[in-house]
Amino acid sequence: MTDEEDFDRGVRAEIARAILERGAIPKVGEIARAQGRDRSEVEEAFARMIEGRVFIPRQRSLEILAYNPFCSEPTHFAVTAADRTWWAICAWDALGVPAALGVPGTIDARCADCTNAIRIEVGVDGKASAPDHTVMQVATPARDFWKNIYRT
Amino acid sequence: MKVQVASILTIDQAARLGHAWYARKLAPDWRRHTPDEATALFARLGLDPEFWRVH
Repeated sequence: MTDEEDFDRGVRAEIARAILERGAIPKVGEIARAQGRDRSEVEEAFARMIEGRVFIPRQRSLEILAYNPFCSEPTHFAVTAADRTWWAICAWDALGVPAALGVPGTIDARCADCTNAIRIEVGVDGKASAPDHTVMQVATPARDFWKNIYRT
Repeated sequence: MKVQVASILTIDQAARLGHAWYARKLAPDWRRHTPDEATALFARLGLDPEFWRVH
């Protein structure tokens, strides 16, 4: 493992720790302070992770919008798990939040077609129960997911 | 030529996808799925191979 890979792994561990312990996605400055490193070093790690599609940055910023499946701001996909409310940018990610935390969870969203409320219960094993006929529509072919991730 | 404009997943397929994709995201040794791993996962879930082709 190169020094950069080792450093990036430490940054990812710090992000994971903040999510698990505080339920929050940290900013560059918080990670730099927590690890006793220069802000510029963490910015460089973030840039490498963005290039490697480890997370989705805020537009025109290095800061994290979504450390998928976790979104840093409220969305239409709320997930209750581990005694917190989490946010996800899409149904796929919402279904992944309990899995990433290793706990069961409850997703509250709205049908994109009729706007009816949808509640999905997800077990720790990933099995889900939902209202009859609930489906997930993916409109972008997989090969195009990252062409414009903000639309996908 | 038939062009598929969207992929519709059952809740079971979607839940299995979310679980498999993200279960290790916070693990210290997490890494991105390789294209081959992603392709194999999508196939196991019975997803349309052309729509879900990653490369």
